[in-house]
Amino acid sequence: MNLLKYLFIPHKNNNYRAKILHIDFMAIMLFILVVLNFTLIKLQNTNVIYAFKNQITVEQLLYYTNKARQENNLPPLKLNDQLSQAAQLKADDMFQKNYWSHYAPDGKSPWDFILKTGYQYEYAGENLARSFYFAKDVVSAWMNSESHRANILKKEYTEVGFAVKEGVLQGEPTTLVVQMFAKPILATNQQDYQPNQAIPQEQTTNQKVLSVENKPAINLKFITFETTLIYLIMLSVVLVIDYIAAVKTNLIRNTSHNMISFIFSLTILIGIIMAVKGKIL
Amino acid sequence: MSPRKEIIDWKTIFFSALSAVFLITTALFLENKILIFGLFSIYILIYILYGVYYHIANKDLTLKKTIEYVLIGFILFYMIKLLLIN
Repeated sequence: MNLLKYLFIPHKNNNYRAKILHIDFMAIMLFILVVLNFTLIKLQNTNVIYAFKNQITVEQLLYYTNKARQENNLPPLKLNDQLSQAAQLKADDMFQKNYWSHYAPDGKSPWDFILKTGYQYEYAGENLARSFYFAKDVVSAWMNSESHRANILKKEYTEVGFAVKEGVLQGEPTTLVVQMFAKPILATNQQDYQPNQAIPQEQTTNQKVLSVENKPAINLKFITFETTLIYLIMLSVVLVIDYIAAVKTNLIRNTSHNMISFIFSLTILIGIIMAVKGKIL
Repeated sequence: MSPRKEIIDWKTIFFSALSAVFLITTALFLENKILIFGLFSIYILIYILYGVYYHIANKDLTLKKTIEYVLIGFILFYMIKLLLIN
């Protein structure tokens, strides 16, 4: 308790200024940040540092997609290798031709990628997402969008495929997620084959929802992300506490202006929270 | 001359808040994280310069205050880098 008071509340023992605002403490924090920064760069074997590599996996995407379906009393989707291959082809094409759209600049549609794998579908659909850090957030964003939600919850769909690919899209290092839904055409239906397509879309099967227990036990990037955000929030709060305490007690001291630092820190915090939000299509 | 009482400086608060609104609005229109990172980096530089200017205007600038602004500025810079780029 005394330590917390020493760190956050201005009083006699910390020379009437929260310890985390002292120059020595801030210098240590800066040093840790610089070390973390270089460690993360060192951990990457690529030339470009991609955002939170390996945080999104196919297993997690399948789990959260099927969880959403089961919550809406729909059977879970079965992971299909051909659809995953189609999703991978689509992701490759998007990076190669540098576009963020359901349709390629050369007019290629999502269905072309599915048909290319030899998959014959009665219904098909596609959801896209980019710049998300966690699989759960990807599926949540889709579920919050009417058209993407309609795809996930379409009762006709029985199978799904995913691709998670990292690269540089439109000049920005990003993690791209492609989700392809379909219902394979039945042998008896092949004579009247007329595919239904939707962007974005759905599925069915009796496969059980997979449990997502394969998250890495320790992820340095995840810890860094959380710690950095917590420190930023803490810094903003302490600046305000310190400021109020100094005003109320008529303290005379030789320090920088807290309110300037607070507003700038808060702005950065809000900006970061907005910027780390992913996009769906 | 350097030590001073903490006072509520509404003018500074108003202009800092105004610049914050401007920055966040601009960031909203930028799709690319690299550009957002660049924008925030410029904002941090403005923060350091403004902090120093504030004390020059109040005739109470000291090395300690300058170091505080620079340290907070660099901490924010590395945080943005970690969160947006790495």
